[in-house]
Amino acid sequence: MSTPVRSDFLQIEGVTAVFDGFKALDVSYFGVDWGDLRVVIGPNGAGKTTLCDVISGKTKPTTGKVVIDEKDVTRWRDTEISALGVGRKFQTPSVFDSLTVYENMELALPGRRRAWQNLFGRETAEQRDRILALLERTHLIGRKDHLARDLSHGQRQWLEISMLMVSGARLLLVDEPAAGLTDTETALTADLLLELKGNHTLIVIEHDMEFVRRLGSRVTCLCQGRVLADGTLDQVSSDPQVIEAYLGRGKAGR
Amino acid sequence: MGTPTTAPESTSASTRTAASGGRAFGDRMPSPLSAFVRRLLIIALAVIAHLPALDLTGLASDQRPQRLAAIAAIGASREPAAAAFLEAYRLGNAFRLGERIVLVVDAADPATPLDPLSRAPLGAPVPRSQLVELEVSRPEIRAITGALTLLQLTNPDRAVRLPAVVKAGDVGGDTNRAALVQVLAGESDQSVAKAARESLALIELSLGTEAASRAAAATLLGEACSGRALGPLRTRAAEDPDPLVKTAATAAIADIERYQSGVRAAQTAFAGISAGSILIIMALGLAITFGLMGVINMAHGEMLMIGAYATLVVQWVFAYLPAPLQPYYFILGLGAGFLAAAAVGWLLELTIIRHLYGRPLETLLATWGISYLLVQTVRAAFGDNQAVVAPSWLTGGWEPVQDLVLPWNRLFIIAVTITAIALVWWVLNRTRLGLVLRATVQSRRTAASLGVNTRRIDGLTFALGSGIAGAGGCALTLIGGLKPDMGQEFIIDSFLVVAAGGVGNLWGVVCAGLGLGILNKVLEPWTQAVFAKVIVLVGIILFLQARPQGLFPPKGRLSDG
Amino acid sequence: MAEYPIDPRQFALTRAIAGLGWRGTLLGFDRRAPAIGAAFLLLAIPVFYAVGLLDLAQVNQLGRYCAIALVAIGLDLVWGYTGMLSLCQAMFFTLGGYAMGMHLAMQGPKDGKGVPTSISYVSSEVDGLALPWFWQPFAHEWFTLVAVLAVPAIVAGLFGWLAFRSRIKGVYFSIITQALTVALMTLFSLNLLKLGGTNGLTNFTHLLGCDIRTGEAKLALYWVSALALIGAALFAWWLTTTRFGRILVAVRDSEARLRFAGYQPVIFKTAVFTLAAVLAGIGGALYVPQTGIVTPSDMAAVPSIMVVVWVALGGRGTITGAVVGALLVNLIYALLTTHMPKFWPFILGAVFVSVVLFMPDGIVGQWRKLIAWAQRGKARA
Repeated sequence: MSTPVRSDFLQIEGVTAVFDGFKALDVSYFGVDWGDLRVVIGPNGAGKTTLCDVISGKTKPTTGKVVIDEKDVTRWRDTEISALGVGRKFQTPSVFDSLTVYENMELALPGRRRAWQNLFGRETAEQRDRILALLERTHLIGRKDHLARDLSHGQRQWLEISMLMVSGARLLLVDEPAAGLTDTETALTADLLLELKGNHTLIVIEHDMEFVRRLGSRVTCLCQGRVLADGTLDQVSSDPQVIEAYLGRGKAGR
Repeated sequence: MGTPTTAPESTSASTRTAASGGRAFGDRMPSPLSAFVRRLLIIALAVIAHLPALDLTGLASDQRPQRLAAIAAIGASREPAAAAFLEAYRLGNAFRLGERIVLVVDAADPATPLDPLSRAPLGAPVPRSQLVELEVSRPEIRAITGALTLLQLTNPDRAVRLPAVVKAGDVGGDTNRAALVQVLAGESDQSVAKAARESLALIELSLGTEAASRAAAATLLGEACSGRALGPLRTRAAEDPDPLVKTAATAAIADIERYQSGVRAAQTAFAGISAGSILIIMALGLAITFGLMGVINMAHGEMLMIGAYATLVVQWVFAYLPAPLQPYYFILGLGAGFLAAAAVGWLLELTIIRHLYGRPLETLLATWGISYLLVQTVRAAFGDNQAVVAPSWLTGGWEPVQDLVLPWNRLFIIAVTITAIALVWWVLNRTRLGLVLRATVQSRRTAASLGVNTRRIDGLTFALGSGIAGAGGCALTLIGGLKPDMGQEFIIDSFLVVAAGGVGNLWGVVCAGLGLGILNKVLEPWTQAVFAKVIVLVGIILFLQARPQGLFPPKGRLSDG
Repeated sequence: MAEYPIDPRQFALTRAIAGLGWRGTLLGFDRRAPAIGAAFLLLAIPVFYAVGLLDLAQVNQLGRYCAIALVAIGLDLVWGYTGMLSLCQAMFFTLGGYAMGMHLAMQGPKDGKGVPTSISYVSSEVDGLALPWFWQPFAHEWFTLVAVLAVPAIVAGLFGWLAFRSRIKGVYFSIITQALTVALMTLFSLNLLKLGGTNGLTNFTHLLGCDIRTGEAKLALYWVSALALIGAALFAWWLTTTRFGRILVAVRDSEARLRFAGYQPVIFKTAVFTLAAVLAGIGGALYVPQTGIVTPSDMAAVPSIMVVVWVALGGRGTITGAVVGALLVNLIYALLTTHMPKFWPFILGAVFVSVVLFMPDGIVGQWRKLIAWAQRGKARA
């Protein structure tokens, strides 16, 4: 295991998550710098989604500490963590099906989270422009008044990413953004994520090595809940432990 | 020894006592065969029971002491038929006809004399002038009362003897005491002897002249944990002039109350288990259809109802079969209840629920509509308020310890529930159907790709869940009437049981069902039944606050569905 | 423009409409339908009554149905928009009804000690019942008004908050709400609660100084009910157009997503549940003076499920659907129970099952499909 580099925005220390005696996650240290894009790879069941669950507060870790922006959020509730600026894109695209694309974006706007604040008033012209610009960028502008349930799979992925972008979240957890996309859609998704890098901190979980290569960022490989390797994609993919982890379960994984 | 056998035996007595009446019988015999049977019986009974000959002639004496002695002899005779004679005697229906004692019960003249014990007519009617009424004044009546008590106390039928012994103690008095002492000497039945000792102690407690003997009686009653002694003991503890007796009585009261609170707790627990087992049998079916398949079936209560009505139909059919078979309708009813409900459940799945998988709220609504239709259909077909007659072998109860009576029908329901739990566990964990079922539930596509006919499995599973409720409905007929909407009573509670027990968790369902049943029964005496229900509901809501996943939560990352 | 698949079952109808050139009329009607409905309730019905087309009993009946429809609007917000199938709306209706009933009883006949006859008759106390303390404030109109709104709101707010906080949802929520209403019904049936036991409250005579048994009062109550229905429908419609309304739909679609977007679904769910309870309470308070009685059996399991039937048949997720469903089912019910009472339960059960199976969007949903088709046709033309 490589020596951990001091990272300042997200720090996970000694975190374990145990379900029914099964250790789904056992990370001694995992950190991401501000503005960085980190890709997390690993075979099925390596604990990638559990890592996201722990960061976003969906799952409480059994032991250890999660620090975001110098705040210990280990025992915070999911909505509190979200208010801190942690946004999440789920493995299966999760948007509000019976709302239009524009309304989905509107709900993702920052602020106005209390019930009474939502009774009166609309978004400002500036917010409106931001939404429209983002929809333009993700080729969704033509469908802005369509219900989200009528979108294609790729469009839903983009809508969800657009919602993250408009929400002003600082730490984005992106779970398998390229799953089920065509090649052109994958390329656009990668571009979108790279655009976010710098202004946001991103953790991207991905299986698709082509996609990971395109992101060209630092990679962490998880296996059986542990950090197996850390570095550039080439470094990681030549790590004998990683090769064994993938080939050893070659029939099940990919 | 029952009533039919007493007649011939008593005739034997009267033949011997009333010698002149010897001619009476032969010509009145309906047939030689029955005469032979009768004679046989007389011999047999005389040999078996060692009955003393019943001498009634003393009653005809004009000396009171002799009459009283004769009455006492009848009392000591252990001859059950003599009780009826003494009653008639007390009412002034006993007469002397020549040398014999006869009964005359009609007011006609000439009157037909009857044999005093068998009440068989003795020859042709005689004019009233030949009948001499036996004297019945105060002393005779007192003697008759004593003799009657003694006769009851010595009745060969234990079912008559035991309550009589208990009553003698409760009523008290010297006559009863004397009778009880006499009974105790010859009593072989353990429980009757125990009751007799208790009764004697009770009488001693109030009649005893010595303080020491009263105190001993109180102690004995305390040791016997006699519930009926509580009242008299309290009186003694408050009013007895002797402090020794007071102390003994107080100690006895404490003993009895401690024992009784134990019995009450056991009784409450049993009532709770019994109520809980009905919930469990309902919830078991739900644990399969709702817990495993995720189908919410509001018509599940109607499966119970269908099982109950199937039992009713089976009982009607059995009414056409030979009598000895009839009590066993219930066994067939259990199977019929299961099959009828399973068939309806299977049809329901096939026609409606199948089209609504993955849409729980729609399923809830559609099945509620079905439930409504089923109730109305059964109401139109059977009308309201039918009842199944519980089979004879399930009436009464089992008394494992003193004062704790567990009714057979409730025990039977518990047994059915345990069988159902075992059956479900076995099907789910030890059969291929269970394996395939669990596989289908976890991944329908994978199961289908492995060649599992998932549709058929769905139907079978649903039929199994419904059938168990049907068997429960059959068991439920033992403790209540049949109403078309009888299932509605249980449906909410059993859903709560499944919710509290954890979805798809057999042991959770069992624990939650028992817990809910017992909690209800424990709360009932303090509050009213209604409040108990409200408290339980609030309790469940609060419980779900603390443990939203139920008693035994599933763990893992798939748990937060 | 959203795409609605055209149901082949509608072909005959749609062809007929196209052939007759009714497309424009249809669209025009769709735009004006709510206004037409409101005008019908507020103007046409009183006129019909004035000219003798309707008798007083029928107007009274309509007034009661208007009051009931408020419950349906509430349930539509909770179920149709937010996706929570509440099976206890009739309980809130009855709570509002009891608050009003207590006020009416205080104005009605009393025994020698000034206790309303409804509770003094069923009281088992030997020397007569003293007026319970919680009855006394109900002599005042203002307190009653507050109670009508507040009692259902408090019950719903408290229960909803507890239930939603522990993430009881889906069918669990349905079951628990049904358990709640049945429990409260048994509670209200107790004489010792001094609410009239199973007989409930009745013998109502006066409200605000007017005799409610007169024709004028009945007509006035009808007007108030119709106005309340229109007002509630407008309010609910407005609510669904706000961002609050969109958040409710978001709760239905994906509560988890909403949570990770930083909203607290518990707050929104509790709020809408409470609002629905208040609407139901108002409905109950308007219903009771028109029907003259309120009993615990009004909160049995079935009445709450009936509300669900109305909304399902009318079309959930649309305010119009809730109102149409409530009025329609009740009118059919009134018609059938007078002419063939034996068949009503069977028809109800069958309607229930077939709506769920074949017409999940209800009458208004079907109508919308027709309109979508008409619009497309117009766009092509």
